[in-house]
Amino acid sequence: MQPFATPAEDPALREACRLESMGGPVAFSAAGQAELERLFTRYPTREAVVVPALWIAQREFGWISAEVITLVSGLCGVAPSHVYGVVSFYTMFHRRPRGRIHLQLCTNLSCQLRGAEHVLNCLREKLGIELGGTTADGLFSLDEVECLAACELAPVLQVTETRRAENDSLVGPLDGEAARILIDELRVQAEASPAPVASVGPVADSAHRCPGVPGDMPTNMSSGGVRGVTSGGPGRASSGGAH
Amino acid sequence: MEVKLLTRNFDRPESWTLDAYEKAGGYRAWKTAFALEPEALIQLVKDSGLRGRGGAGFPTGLKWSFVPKESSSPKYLCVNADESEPGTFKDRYLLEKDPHAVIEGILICCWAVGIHHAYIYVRGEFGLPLFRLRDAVREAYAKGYLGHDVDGHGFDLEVTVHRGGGAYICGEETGLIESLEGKKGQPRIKPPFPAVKGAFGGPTVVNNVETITTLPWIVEHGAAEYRKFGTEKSPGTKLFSVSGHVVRPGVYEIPLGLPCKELVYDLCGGISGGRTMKANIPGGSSVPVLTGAEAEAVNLDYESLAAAGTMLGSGGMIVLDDETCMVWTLAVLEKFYAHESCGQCTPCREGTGWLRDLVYRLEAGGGKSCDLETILSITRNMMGTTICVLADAAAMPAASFVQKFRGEFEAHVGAGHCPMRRRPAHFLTAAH
Repeated sequence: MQPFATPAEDPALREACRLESMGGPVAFSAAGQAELERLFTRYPTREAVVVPALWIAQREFGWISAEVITLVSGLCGVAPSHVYGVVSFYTMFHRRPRGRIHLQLCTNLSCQLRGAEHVLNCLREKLGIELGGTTADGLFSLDEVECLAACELAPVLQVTETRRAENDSLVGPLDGEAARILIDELRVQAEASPAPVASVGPVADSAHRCPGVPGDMPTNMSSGGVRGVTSGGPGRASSGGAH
Repeated sequence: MEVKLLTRNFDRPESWTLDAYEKAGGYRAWKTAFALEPEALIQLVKDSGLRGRGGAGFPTGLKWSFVPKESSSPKYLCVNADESEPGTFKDRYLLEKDPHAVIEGILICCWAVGIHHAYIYVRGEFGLPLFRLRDAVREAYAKGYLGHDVDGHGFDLEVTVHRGGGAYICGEETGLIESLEGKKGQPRIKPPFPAVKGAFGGPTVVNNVETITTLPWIVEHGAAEYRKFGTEKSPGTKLFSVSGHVVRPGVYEIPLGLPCKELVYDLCGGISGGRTMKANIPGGSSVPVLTGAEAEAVNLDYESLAAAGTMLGSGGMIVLDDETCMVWTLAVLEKFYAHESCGQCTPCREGTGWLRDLVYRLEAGGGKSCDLETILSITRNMMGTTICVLADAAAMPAASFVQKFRGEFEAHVGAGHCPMRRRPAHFLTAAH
């Protein structure tokens, strides 16, 4: 029993904390719970598992609700306010549902120098949404992100399927046309497979930016659109983009 | 001229697999290291002159020697893979292309310092580098290079890959430790330094991925061989990640002391579109900017860059051509720092916001001539006044941009708009 109401119980608190409700208590799947138990053996404190637990939660539920905060708080033995502090401090935990495919465009300097703003405008126009928005069909959300450490691919976009295990892929260098083609391709792939899709986008493999390799700027956009990548065991995502 | 010590395996097929790494002679240096007493191993790293490659450039062997030999609480290694300094992408390459070299470096460090658990703190946005690293750790466990009684040497080592939640400040070593412990990544007041009291209260070494990855080469070839590269005071090689207006952006391993001109014009193919270099940010977005002429005259080592009034930092070089508006450029950078300030120190929390707002206004043409003095005054009140150096990282670019490109700032005030008009003026579309 909490001595005070938590956001999971109190709508006014939720509003104050900019949290949303999933409508009732939530629990991890058996696989998620097993992963969590294994994680507890890897750290000397239960508190240290807060961030890994939030990652499991975001994979299982898609976003972090007031109930998820209560869940993680109970499992890790810390106050809900502590978990909330962590959730709101880091940029990658979503406090509201996001689209099935999360697009994050880098707008830091190296990408801006090579036309990120134009790509951003093309994406906004193509998707019909503003930054932070989600398309009406729930397929895409668009956000900006700080430097992705992929400046040789500038302007670069990170494509992530929200409810799947880690599958983040980099796409770049983009221009307006490549960005529009990418959206079409992703839509086709998503419509062809029920959620979650097995393949959402290309992976930028640094194989194509080996030091000193002369040549044109690499691109992960083939003429036919994007390359898919399947996730899986060791060696996955080993193929790079097309030249 | 490139030198391939850390990047030696990058071109091998499936270089990230254990099989490829072993075929290339991997996991031999670890055996050599284990044959040495820990003190001798620390001395070897001291003799090599290796300095931390994350940005601060602190001598690695010296850092290790601050960790007490006997400790009542467990000692930890935190490998800093939170690469997020704008313009820096070298660690991503190391993790993607040679994760087993990172693991072998961890083995060497942990044997030298007497550590039995290493955490690799990987930034949350990393996809492929994280997948490859996790696979490599699994392979190393399966082969007996990690875990109980490593390789039959009676030494236990656990390695845990930890994924961050997305925050620039977690690249600061005490912010990283706080974050690893399950908290907001707000840096700690030092002392105590992590070597005395770090992760989970135990003595802790925090080393950058590139630093760790250099260790197997040094152990295998010796300190004297390593010192054949680079300069007397900056020995060895350094990965530079070059981006912006160059023909061939990418990661280049060069001996320290290489003329900047050679990196920009020979290795990177010069400035895109046949334009000229107006400015160069040589060590990641946080270091003072150089003019094109200054950059063409400087050598890339710790001392030469310091003498030129800037820093080697993380080696994340951003090249700006002659069509770039410097007010616009500074606005992009200050937006970043205002977003990333963790908020616990007033000079940083307030200062980064004021810098952003003032530069925004100048860029949009609404600035006043007194704004330039206000910016410089704010930077003076930020530097050296906070728990960590994020405030300095925001202030140094602001001060150097205004000092070196003052004419451009004044022209914005005079014209009431960006006189260059080459870049869109209203790029700042997101709410801040």
